[in-house]
Amino acid sequence: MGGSQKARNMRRKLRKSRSSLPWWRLLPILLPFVLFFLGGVAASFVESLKPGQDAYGRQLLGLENYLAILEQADFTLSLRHSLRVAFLSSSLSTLLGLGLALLIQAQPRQYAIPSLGFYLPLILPPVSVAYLSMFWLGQHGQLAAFLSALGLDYQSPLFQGDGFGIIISYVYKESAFGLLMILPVLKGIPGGMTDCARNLGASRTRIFLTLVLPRLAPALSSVFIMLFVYSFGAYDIPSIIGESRPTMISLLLYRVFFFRPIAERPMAAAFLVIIFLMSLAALVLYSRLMSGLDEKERRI
Amino acid sequence: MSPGPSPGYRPPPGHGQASRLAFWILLLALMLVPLVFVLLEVLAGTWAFPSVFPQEWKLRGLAFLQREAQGILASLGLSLGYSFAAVLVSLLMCWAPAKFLARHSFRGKAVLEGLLLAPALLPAISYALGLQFIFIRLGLVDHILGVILVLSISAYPYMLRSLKIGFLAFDPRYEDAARNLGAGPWRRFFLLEAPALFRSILAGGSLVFLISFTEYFLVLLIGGGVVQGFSSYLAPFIRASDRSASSALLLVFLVIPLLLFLCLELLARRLRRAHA
Repeated sequence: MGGSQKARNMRRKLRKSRSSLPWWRLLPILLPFVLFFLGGVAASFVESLKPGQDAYGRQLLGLENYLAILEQADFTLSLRHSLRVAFLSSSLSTLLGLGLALLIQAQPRQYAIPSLGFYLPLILPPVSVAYLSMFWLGQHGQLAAFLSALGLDYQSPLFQGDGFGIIISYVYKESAFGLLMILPVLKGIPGGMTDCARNLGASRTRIFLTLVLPRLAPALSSVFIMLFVYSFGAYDIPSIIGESRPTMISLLLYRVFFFRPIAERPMAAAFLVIIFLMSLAALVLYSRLMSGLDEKERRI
Repeated sequence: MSPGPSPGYRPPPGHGQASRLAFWILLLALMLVPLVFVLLEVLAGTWAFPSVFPQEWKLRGLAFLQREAQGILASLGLSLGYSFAAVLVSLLMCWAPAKFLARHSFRGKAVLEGLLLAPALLPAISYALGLQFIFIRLGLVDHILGVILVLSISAYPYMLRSLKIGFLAFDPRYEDAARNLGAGPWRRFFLLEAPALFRSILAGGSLVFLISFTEYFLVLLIGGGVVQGFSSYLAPFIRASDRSASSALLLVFLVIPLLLFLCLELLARRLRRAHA
């Protein structure tokens, strides 16, 4: 009798533990996330609605701060420039990362150690990558020296107003990131399947297009979006190698934040919220794409 | 191709020679040659355009390192300090939540996990400027604690994911067995979970370390002029086009994480052998 009572108690306990999860275990992450991350966003949102003025002394309140930013020519110019730079650098990096992953995967196993060399740009800080671009590609850089020894002229792509210096630096750093994300997925594609297709007479291109590429697609698109959002808003590299006009949006944001009168702060905060929302929109798109990925393959 | 099941898709070895050549050419052209010339710059005296090689060897970069050793070591020590602290803080932040997320499923889990990844995916500038308002109120600006906190917040998602993947592969029954045998939480952590998840801690930790160690903007924003990490130390030399200084500092920046990873790899191997 007592035994069955014990069993019933135990069962009740089990059911209870299943229905009420130990939510408090999430606190170590939720607390700083809400306090600092969401808090930071909320603080800039509150600031963005306060009364302030624009560069011409016009009084602004609430949503007028947002309108004032959106109608600024500098903002539109900068936005277009940043979107272009982010799109070009992230698509090139994704492609190059894929190319490097395929190249490394095609090598025999003893190439594993020298292959690590391709990850070096991940270790380099962004400011040093920008320096490396100037060192090699500047008007009087190393490449120019080589070409002039061969009697050839050289026109540096840096500081020409089209952002190529930033794009080149990003591609150098980000393709290593692409490689890091894509190679494990490539390794996870069962070799037996592609061997089988080959035995049945499928051509190399057909195998790649119909068997390999669809399995890589989620990884490729997520790499693209992660890099896109990063290069859209990163500060370090443009601060060294960026043009002053058109300027990357992060530099413009920094400038309106810190080098303008305090009365323009609410407008600067509105700028901040706009950038946050735009990046968030890209992130939502990212998570839609990610939902199709395996737990193991996504890594982050 | 070697006999037996292949480990993954490999592009067919039809053009083996060509692909091997492409591999080495790319490795040389993209990684080795650019860095070797940076090393030459460190060892050079006069090296004026359009000379392809230095005209005079004087170890100017090395002389710079020696002359400025005190400042370099101070900023390097500070960078190493706040980066390791950020690794530790993010580990403390993520351990229990990663375990929770790996063991339990509930409604809205995917959304919550997506939200928790946001700080790493969104550009730091988009939330860090607002965060600065809060940090000013809390007196954390211009203080190393503020720098550690902001770096942990921007990089913890890498630790969270890595630990979660580790916990997914770790059978909870081991922990039950240890508990039944009377091991307390600390004993379970140090003798069971930490060794079992060592790889995950290492993977997440190295990413958090690298991000913190190379970060320029966040340290500048929250650290102000007071907490001057290595990136903040380096940037003015690059802006001033001081090539020998920038080159020397670039190599220092490259060597230190490499040495660190080498040590960790050796440590991991020894640990694995000890376990076997």
